[in-house]
Amino acid sequence: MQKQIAAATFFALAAFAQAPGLPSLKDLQALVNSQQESMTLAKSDPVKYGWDLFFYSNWPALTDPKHRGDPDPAKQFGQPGTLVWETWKNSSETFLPNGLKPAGWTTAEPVPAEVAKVPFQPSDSGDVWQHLTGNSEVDGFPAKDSAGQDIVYEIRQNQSTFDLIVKRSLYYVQGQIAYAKSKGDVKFDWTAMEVKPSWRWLDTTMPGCQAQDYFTANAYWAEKDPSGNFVGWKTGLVGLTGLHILTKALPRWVWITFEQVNNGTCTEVKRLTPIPANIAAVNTQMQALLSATKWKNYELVGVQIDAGTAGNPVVLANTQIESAFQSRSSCLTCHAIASVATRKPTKPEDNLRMSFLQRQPPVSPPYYIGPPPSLGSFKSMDFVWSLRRAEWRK
Amino acid sequence: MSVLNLPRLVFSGFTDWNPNTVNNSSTIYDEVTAEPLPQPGVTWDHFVAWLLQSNKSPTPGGLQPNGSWNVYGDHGVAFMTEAGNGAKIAGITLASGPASTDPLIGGNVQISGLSFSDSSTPPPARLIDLEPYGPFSSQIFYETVMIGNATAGVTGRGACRMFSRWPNFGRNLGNLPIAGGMGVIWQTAASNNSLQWNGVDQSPALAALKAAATAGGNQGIVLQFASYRTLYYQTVTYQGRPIRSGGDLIWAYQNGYKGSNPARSILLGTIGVWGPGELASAPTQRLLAPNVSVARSSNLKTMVRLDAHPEAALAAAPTPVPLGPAMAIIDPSRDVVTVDFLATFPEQGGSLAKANLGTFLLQSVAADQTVTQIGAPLTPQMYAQATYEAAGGMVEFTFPASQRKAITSGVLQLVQQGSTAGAALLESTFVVETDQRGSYIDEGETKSISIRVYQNGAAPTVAVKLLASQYDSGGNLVTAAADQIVTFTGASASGVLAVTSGVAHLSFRAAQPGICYVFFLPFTGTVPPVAPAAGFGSPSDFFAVIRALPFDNALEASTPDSELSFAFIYGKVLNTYDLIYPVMSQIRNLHDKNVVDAMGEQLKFAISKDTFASTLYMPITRELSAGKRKLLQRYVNLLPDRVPADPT
Repeated sequence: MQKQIAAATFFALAAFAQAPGLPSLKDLQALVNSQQESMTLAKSDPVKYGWDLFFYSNWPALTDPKHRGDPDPAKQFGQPGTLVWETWKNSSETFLPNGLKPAGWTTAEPVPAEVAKVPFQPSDSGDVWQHLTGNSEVDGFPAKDSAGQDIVYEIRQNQSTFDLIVKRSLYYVQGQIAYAKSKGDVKFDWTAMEVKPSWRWLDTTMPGCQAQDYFTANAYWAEKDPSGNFVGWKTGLVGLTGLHILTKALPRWVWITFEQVNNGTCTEVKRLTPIPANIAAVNTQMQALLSATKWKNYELVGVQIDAGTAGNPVVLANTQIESAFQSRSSCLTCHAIASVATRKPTKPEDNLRMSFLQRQPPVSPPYYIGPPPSLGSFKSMDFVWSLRRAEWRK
Repeated sequence: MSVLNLPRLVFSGFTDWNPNTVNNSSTIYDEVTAEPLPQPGVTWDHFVAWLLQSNKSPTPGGLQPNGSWNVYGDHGVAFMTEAGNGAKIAGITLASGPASTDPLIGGNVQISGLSFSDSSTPPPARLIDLEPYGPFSSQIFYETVMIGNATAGVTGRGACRMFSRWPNFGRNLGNLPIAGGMGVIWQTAASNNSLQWNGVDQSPALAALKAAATAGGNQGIVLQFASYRTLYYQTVTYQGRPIRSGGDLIWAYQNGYKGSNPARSILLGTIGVWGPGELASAPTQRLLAPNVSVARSSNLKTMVRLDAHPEAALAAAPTPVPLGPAMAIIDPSRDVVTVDFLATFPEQGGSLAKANLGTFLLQSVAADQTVTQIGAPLTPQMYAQATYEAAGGMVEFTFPASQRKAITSGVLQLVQQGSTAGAALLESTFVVETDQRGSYIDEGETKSISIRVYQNGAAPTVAVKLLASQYDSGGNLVTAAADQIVTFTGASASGVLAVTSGVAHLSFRAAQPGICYVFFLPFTGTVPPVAPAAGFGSPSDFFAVIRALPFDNALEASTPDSELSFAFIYGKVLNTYDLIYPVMSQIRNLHDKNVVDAMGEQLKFAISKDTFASTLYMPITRELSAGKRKLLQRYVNLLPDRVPADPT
């Protein structure tokens, strides 16, 4: 209750240059540019920190590639346009086929020629393409929307995260192994951030569960036949159903997750554990402030800053991203296992990375929660599981 | 202590069995290679569709799908009642007497497994026949046993998987289809260090069970239950039509049904204390083994008054009826012999009513052949259905203190009153059992199992050895070395196993892929007995079963990474689980590379040997060879970008 009152007070009293009650870009930038302020707020009021990061990362961005990652100071929150995180590096730009070195931060995101020919549909995100790179969750299963279509995903990293990956040659597997062997654990800067949005394909001809309630974007997806062969690009309008926002404001990162409020009816996944009352209360206040925008349809599910204990573990799940293992989903615990071996595995049973599946004691679903396990001989990749997307350089 | 001692909790209900039945057929599935067998005129793409089609049997009773009565079975096992999930505690007997008002009465009993996903109900345990074709090697893999609930109850981890014991094809004297007339018992235990007791203060019975389980050297709690009178085609309705026959199921499959069709057995069992030195998965008290069949008169009216005129009744066109085994314990502190007749007396006519086989006498026979009758005669009313179900098959025989010495020192037997044919049940001096009843062994691997030997329910007091002999799946003694599935090795190479402190060890390595049974004959002295030519002579035979998995090491060794395309891995490894177990591809479409690749992490975890005992292990049917495991592991290691393209 204390936290909910504090958050309400903050938003009610703060003076902003835009819609009353919403934080200013200046204040948000001050927050994300100050390690001390970020740490303090993340620890003292994670709910407010979560919403502030939501405002920051969803702020309309400058779209010139030279300004990738920069919010547009001329725009207000909720105005149409490409979002800050939508201009971050897609994992497909960072982890290239054959482990090639990625292009620099200010290089425009490439779009396949066949996709580029497709006319844009009107969207909140403007005339940019989102490259969707996944249709299954970490448990290997897809989540489905109410039309039976797969929920689809992408991963994007801010410049801090991207630059360190390039600087440490972590964009290909041999580079990761070499770093682990020579330097040990990877350490990202405190400014590192990453997002994992989830989307559903929208059918603008169908009523209900459609574009009017979602932040929308034009997206493309590589379709493959059952043998895994690329057969063409699927393009279309997608609606944002969920958003993980990860920041390294704390040493074990801060794990923030939002969802679209209609996921319970517009997708096949049901939430097992209700959003805590203190967060729901803040959500109600924020949604009221956002009533003139589509962001009124989004809610904070939770913010994780610790793993809890073995007897009282902290769990946090986004129904769109951790659909089928909500009861044993701990962002922090699982990502603490992000790791790599110090040499190329030679035996079939050996792993390049420590498995995030718990063997002992057997549990159901078999995912670690609570205090993270020891990495043994593996070296930490500092909670960044997206480094798994790196390919081998052949 | 054991389920024979007090406190005892009787539980009852059904067991629903949902095995896949496609691998039961030697014409569809090769249990040596663990691969599907081609069918004339059927392409692999149409194999599953063919499984669902009629076998065109000319007899109505034989009509069923080509893949038999449960093509989409997932091997789940669940305790049930008509009301739903879980067997129910039906009766409790404490040292102070019956506890009919205890809050635990009516409480649930369930076993469950693990799942890769959240589940609103506990994931099921799994029934896996080590030998897919045969009836003697059933196993239940499970994780947790749950008794009662969070208010008053106890949960614990299973100490080891369960094995069907005492297989008795004559359990029901009616002509029930498939394995309907067969009965088996199961036993499992959970150790004290895994038990979580809830609300002990709410239930005197629970408190008594906990106190006894944790007293002295007791190991925890033990559950024993019988499965019998199994009926098929009982639980499914599709598009409003009850599926009650093979013909119905063919119709359902042809109209799109892709669900399970479980069989349902009667369940009756007892929960008690897991005593010191007892095995988790097998009863090890004083075994009353089937000896001679008893006479069942065709004149039931006469049988009813068997007490008065037993000779006349038995002379009225008797038919021989074998009894199942029983287990007994003598409690000299109470001057009681408790006999567990859970698996002993058959039911008649496909029903649950016990066959009236007249009156029996429990006796103790001294070395000089002096016979001491123990307690009152066992009348038909004492083993009739109602009494049997209420007591979980337990019968107590009270004797005077003056007979204590004679009874405790003699050999127990159960004789049919009026019969001169010999004891129906005769105590076996030795019990030879193992918690490692089922073994899977790979090419090039050597394994060892421990076998426990008991003498009259306790550690042996005489020098005893075991003769281990190998039998084929048909129960024939393997005499030629070329026919051996495993080769005994090390100290057990001769087949004669030393018993030290009640424990023997059998070491073996795989000689060729296939399945064998190893029977154990205890003997004293220096000359081993002659192994009988045929096994499975008695439900209480002592044996273990071994599956030597396919020899695929050469395949793995000869396959470079450059050939490990998805087409290769599907064709050589995954297609068995796609074609023989169609339910698998309802969960994960194994013939889609994108799907398989997405679960690479889970795949490698699931096939890992260190998850073998878990219900998370894949394949749950456990026929993945070491060679094919390595191929799968190597394929996953090549993800995401080093998997070679499929050959064109």
